[in-house]
Amino acid sequence: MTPKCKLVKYIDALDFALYEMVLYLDTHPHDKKALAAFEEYKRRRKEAIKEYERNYGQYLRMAKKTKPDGSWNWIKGPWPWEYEKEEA
Amino acid sequence: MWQYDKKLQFPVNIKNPDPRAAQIIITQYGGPDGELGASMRYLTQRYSMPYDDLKGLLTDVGTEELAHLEMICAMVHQLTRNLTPEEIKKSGFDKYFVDHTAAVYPIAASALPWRAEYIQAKGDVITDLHEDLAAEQKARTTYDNLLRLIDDPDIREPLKFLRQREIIHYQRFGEGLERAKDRLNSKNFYACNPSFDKKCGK
Repeated sequence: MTPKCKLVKYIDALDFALYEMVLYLDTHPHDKKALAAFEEYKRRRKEAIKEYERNYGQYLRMAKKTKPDGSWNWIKGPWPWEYEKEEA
Repeated sequence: MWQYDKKLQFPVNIKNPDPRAAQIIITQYGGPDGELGASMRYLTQRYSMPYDDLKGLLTDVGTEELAHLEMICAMVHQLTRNLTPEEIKKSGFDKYFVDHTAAVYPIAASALPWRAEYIQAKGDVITDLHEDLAAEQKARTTYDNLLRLIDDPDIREPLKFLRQREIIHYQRFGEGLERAKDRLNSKNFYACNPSFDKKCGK
């Protein structure tokens, strides 16, 4: 696995952890430990995106943004349901 | 409203197409205990839910179920790619193929199309949450049954992830039910229906 691929996986794992905390907080809205964990995962995600952008340019995967070459990024495949031989 | 994240909640990358497996996995898209029904059930029940925390829970679990039906559809799509007419005939995929080619259409493993009868929105907090708890267990059993029939690790890993999510959702709905009961008459939870009766609860 390339370092870039590893970093993307790490961001995905944080996205999952954040969503898991959302469900937990819905039924434990005053749990201080859970609230702190949520904020911590959010902070780590922000850091990881920063690291990605330092090394590989814009984190465009989910953004509806203009690519550095001035074109519309959003429609660029592969789309999530498509089989990918090797992760980029 | 919703925003689309251009990724799956858990990766699906299946090297070897397997139209036979696709025909049973599709039941978790359009079957009686599938992910389409799950998301519609929770997102529909929100409107008669009187409690803010449980409106949040139904919204967030219902939204996650949309991500799950996308994973199931991705699996069916990848399992039925690049098929030859011989493979289609040999695997028994021909009966599906004549109606839908290699599109992903919401049906059960038995070929029955998705129906709204699979879900309920009863407009009663206790009733709806019990429906949700049962739904999570029924989906978990379905994943257990699929895992009994499938060996390919590329298919098993996302199925195992989805099975675990059913257990987490069951846990959260159980807590939701307790939180709802805390607001009701502890000697008789059914004394009134807080979804409908205005003056209700403690």
